[in-house]
Amino acid sequence: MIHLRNVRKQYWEQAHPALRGVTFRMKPGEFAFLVGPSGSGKSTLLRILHGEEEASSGIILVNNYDVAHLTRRQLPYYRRTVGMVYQDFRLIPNRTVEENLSFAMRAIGAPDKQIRARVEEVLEQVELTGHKHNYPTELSGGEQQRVAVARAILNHPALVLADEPTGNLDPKLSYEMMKLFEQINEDGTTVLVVTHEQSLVDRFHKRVIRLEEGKIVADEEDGLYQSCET
Amino acid sequence: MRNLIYFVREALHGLRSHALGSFAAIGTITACLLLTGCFALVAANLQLNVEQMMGDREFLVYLEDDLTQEDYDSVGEALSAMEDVEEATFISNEQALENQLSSSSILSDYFKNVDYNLLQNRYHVLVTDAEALASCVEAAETLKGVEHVYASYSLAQQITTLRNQCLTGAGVMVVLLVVLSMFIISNVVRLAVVARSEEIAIMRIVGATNGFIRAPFLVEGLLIGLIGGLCATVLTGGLYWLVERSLTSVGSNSVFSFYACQDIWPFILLATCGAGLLVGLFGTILPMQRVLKTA
Repeated sequence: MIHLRNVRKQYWEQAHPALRGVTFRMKPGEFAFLVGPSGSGKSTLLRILHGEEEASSGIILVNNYDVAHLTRRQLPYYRRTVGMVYQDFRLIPNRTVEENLSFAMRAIGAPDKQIRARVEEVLEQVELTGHKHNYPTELSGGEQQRVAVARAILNHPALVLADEPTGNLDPKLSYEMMKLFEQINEDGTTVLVVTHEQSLVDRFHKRVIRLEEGKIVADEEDGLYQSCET
Repeated sequence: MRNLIYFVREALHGLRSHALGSFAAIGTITACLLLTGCFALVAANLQLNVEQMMGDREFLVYLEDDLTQEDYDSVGEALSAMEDVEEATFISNEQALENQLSSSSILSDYFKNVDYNLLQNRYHVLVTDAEALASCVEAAETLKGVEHVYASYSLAQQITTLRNQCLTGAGVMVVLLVVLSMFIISNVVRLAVVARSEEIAIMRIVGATNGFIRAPFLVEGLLIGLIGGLCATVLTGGLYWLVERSLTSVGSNSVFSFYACQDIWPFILLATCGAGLLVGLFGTILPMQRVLKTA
């Protein structure tokens, strides 16, 4: 669940605000695309939702956490409820696929037996069972991103945030990646995907939130990329 | 427990990945602990002798050469008359030489060709209480016919000065150890953090706590300290054993008391490993606080 009300972000006093009173809600199990031109504040919004940046003002409630007022101690526990996928995958290059995944579960104190079982399960889900002993550099871009998605869903997060997850993939792999997010969403996880790819947004007929100059200018259920353009 | 195994594995991986820095840190800790240990051991053995000497209840009163028997007797009477003197026994120079030759001391060899006339007549004085020794010695020095008085406590005072110098040396070494080792360990930890900054960022993304992120680095610092401590134990213990063996072989143990190696090595182990662990711990904690904020 996401509930944002009048969220503002200004990096310094004289700067142009990155976010200017962003307000929207996402119900549990919802899927939405966050679109908009470069510099519109999409990534800033995602970083605020993930607790990597603090908003200047506004209410930010995510998965029953008041993100705007998280203490340093609470932040790791909040992040366990949110899966994050980045455009550049952010995998550890000197660890195998299996180690990259088990590392994420060990970091939250999961027992070995549970780690092994869950890693197998998600690798199956992202169709990478045969690659568990490979290093990220031995995988294609699409496969690396699937590992990153597997890591994001490993700890059963209630929300998955994806920051241009198909930015480094060709159209076919991008479509497969989006299908994977759709499948994750069908399992009950809320998914918010930041993307520039018009064709993908139009093919999936999901909710589309358009951000321009730090403000939400359109928010449509079953929307199209173009129809959201102002 | 499973996390501990993971932390140790990660720490060992860290040690291997920047082996040169780790080696430098371990070497520095070993060298500093070895030097500190040597100073401390010398000080401990000096202290042992000081305590024994301070516990002595006897002193020797050397008499001038050209005295008559009456003079000797009057010195003896004056000594016996002192309140805290239990017994004052006259020892002629001839008897003193015999005593030296029949003793098991390594010095006995040096007296084989000595003419007894070169030695002085003396009184061996026994006091009732070690604490009264100093005042009796002082009083004996003022007696007519007395050339000088020898009491082991005066030697003990000199040894105490030497012991204090050793303790100062050990103190200086401890300060050097702390400053130098912490500097090196903190740089090793910084290197480790930089090398693993990507991992740390990913740990944060997936919700690892600061404690979990810090733990492998802490274990790494502790391992460096422990390995340094163990190396120092082996070197200090080995050196002490060699010195003890060579001193015993020339019979110095009859003149000078020292702790046996088998009695003292558990203390060396505890002290050096404990100090190594502490240096490793604080050498890691302090830079970690700063480095992790920016990592």
